[in-house]
Amino acid sequence: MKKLGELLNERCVVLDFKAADKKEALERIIAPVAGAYDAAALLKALIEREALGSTGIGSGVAVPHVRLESVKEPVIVLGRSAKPVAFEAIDDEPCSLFFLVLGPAAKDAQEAYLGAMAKISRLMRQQAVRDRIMKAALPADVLAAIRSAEA
Amino acid sequence: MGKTPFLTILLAVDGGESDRATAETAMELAELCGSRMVILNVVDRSLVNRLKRFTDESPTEIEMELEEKGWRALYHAEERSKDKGIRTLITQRHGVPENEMLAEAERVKASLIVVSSPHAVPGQVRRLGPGSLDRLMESAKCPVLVVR
Repeated sequence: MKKLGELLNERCVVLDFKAADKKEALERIIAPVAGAYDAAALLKALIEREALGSTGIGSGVAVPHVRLESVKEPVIVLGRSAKPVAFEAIDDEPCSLFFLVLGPAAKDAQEAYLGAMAKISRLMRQQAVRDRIMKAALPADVLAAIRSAEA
Repeated sequence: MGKTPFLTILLAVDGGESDRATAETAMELAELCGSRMVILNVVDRSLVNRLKRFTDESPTEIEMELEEKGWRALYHAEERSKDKGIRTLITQRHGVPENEMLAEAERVKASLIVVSSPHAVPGQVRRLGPGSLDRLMESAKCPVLVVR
């Protein structure tokens, strides 16, 4: 199974975006993949999924995710907001780090998708990793923080 | 339609073989009652100590593996639950399983706790043993459903 550092690339890291609410945060983090997928449909699917329960897992981290027919292997976008965004997270804290995960729709192809979200959630429990990402100046620094934590 | 009997169902998953049957039962109830589900995984610190006798891995590495396995189980259950249109939240805690289940049940004001039976999978050593299950059932402020 691929590591997060292999699934992420600099083009899919969005630093210090501005968002007033959950919908705007989702709009910002789908921007890097908007050319590859139907952005309106993707946003609608994410909003519908969030309506069934926030993907804010606590400690200022959210993992919005959805499965799409056109996805063959997990696609990850990492977004960092300039200010924390209310996201109805499980700990009621606003979120600043957003990992968008797109996975394949086929039920027999979901292991990598579930595995990617499990890795993100496990890594983001480590405050030192969150701190490095929060302080990173460039997308390359974010990737270095993640690759270092996974090494 | 009368009062919804179970507003919030707390489902415990541990990544074991019995998760699927236990989750299906909880989801059927949630669909029937219009409940929301909170799905919980507990990283059992005592299990870390027991496992380190059988491996060269450090306690930190073992705990990280248990965390990741737990999150995978959580996301797996969450996907199935949301596919059925059930409002669902997931969370992971660290500590003694029955204590953490009770604490989370209190926190989310659970009206039902659903867990796997310690005997759900013959021959498999379960993390929530019979003694733990007794303590959970004695101390819970809401009904506990044990799924075989």
